[in-house]
Amino acid sequence: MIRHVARRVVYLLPIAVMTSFLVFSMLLLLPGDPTFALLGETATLQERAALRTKLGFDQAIPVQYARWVGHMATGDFGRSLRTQEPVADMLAARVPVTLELTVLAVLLAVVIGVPGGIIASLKRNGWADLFVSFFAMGGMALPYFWAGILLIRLFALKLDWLPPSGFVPLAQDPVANLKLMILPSVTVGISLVALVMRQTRTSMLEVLSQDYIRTARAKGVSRTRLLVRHALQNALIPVVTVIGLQMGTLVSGAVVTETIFSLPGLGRMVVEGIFTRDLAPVQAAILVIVIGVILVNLLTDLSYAALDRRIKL
Amino acid sequence: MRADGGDPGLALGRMSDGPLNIRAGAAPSPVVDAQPVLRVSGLHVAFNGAAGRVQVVEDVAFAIPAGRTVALVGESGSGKSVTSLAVMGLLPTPAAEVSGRIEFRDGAGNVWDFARLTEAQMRGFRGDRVAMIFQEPMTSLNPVHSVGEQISEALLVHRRMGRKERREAAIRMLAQVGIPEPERRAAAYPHELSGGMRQRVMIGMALVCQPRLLIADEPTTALDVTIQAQILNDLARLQDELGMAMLFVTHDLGVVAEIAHEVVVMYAGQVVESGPAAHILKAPRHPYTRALLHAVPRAGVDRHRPLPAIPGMVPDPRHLPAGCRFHARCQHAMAGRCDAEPPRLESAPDGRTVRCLRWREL
Repeated sequence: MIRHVARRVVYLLPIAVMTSFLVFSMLLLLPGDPTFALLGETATLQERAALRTKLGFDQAIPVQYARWVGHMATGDFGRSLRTQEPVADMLAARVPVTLELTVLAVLLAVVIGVPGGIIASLKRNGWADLFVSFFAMGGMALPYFWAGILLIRLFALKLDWLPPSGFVPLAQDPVANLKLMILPSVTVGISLVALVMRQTRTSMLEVLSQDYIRTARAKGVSRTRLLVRHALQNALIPVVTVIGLQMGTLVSGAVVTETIFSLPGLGRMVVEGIFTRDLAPVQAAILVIVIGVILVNLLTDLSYAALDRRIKL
Repeated sequence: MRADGGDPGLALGRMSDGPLNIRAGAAPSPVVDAQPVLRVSGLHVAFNGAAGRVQVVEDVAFAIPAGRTVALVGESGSGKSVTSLAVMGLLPTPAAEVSGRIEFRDGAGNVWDFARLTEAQMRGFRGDRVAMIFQEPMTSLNPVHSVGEQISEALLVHRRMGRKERREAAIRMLAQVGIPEPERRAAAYPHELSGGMRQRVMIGMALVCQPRLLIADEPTTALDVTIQAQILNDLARLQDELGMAMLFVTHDLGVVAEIAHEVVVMYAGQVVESGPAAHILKAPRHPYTRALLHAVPRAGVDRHRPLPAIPGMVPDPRHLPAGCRFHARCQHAMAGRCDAEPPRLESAPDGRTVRCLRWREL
């Protein structure tokens, strides 16, 4: 088990290197010139050239890459070209926002999706099942930007129950923070809730027809015990897989959602960086996201082993 | 052969050339309780489905005293498994319609009609005073719980026993069903055990509350022959130790010879013959029972001759033939009689019953 974790952490290294290479070259392919963002439209060619030399953009691309990787390896993520803020500080401020958003979305998926799926499987073909199937299809088809805007229109503008956008750190004012985070986490979580609901329904239906469920009934266990101890524990294994696999999608949802709700998270850091050709923050943010997704997948693997003893790590 | 008659000369050798596996202490039980533990009478089961109502079990009756075994015998589709599930109250509701009497006598002498109990009441009996073993040891155990937990679960549910006591009881039970290193095995998961061991775990699970009635639905069918014989011996031994009544569902008359005192042969949802195992195996009266016996591989018969099989198939319960349900497959069927007049279950000598128009002449 410890060996497995160690091995998986070692696997992270080549993935991180490949990601850094991809991220670096992707951003080189972006059209445009960072000096426009920094100096404006009116600067002279000489001024631009001088700035490029100063920033090292005139050097050969492999040299630029090596220098960047070298700095990253020593923990120096560089500074934002635009604000001169150290990228490490930006990450420290923004990672918690995106983390909160994704954690809340997963929480929604577990708290609403799992019970919803169970109810649908028990009332198979009943109205509850019909509703769940409808919601599951709709939820998965709903684009983030559209869902976000509809939620703002309804709950912020029309009903005035929740603030439409903005951010207050959790540590500063938890109540205000949660109020602001409800709509964004619903926006990000809606498709995951739908997916988890459907998966829970499907795997509960499958598990409930298994022989060992009949064995448990033959023992005279209560209905609750039958559902939770015997059925759900088996049915959750594929649900955990789905949640783990969706983490990447969730982060991409966060990118859009943070923009809609003006949340200062990693996603918006990437979007703003790309628009202003401010590459250092973008590269660092994407690297953090990639490593985060890989770590979540590792966590998913470990949770299989806890849920199902047939799986050996 | 367990019955008093000793070996009736039928070499039901379970595919081997060795002698018939005679159970130790095969003499009749010294005290046969006059009041049976289970008395089933007039049992009917019908399923209501998309295709309409289908009668799958019709007017089945039998009784099992303490310490005795009744074998329910028949091909797939004969209604034998449905009958056993009806006794356990495990048929799907509301699709299955059960009527008749399923009377169970508890240790205090109270009689309960399982056909009339609510699901909650039934739950109190299941796994406690009435237990069941299933056919597939591979799929009938929960893959995510240790076998110790699974064995002792009934003690939590029915006896509210604490964790430590349960663990000890599970280990004792594993030892009792013949699993070596029970302390270590209690922590094992089903996938870590062989098929035979899993079936022993199933048996331990069923017996942990010391039931008065054990229903075994083809418990050895999925196992290879040597393990089958061991499991049957163990079941017989445990039955003697606990004094249980046992309902043993099987299609295998070789197994019947080894375990049963009484036999109930079912065909297309009806009882076609019943009576003491020794008599039925020695001198079957119903042509179906005879055909079944012929299909058992035996020692001493030319091995190169193909096994005699019963031609045709069990009729679809939605389209039952007129007259005797077996007539289309019967060598002795008489045109104009067997295909017209449905036979009634008649009493025959030696406590037997038979459902055949021609049993006296055959």
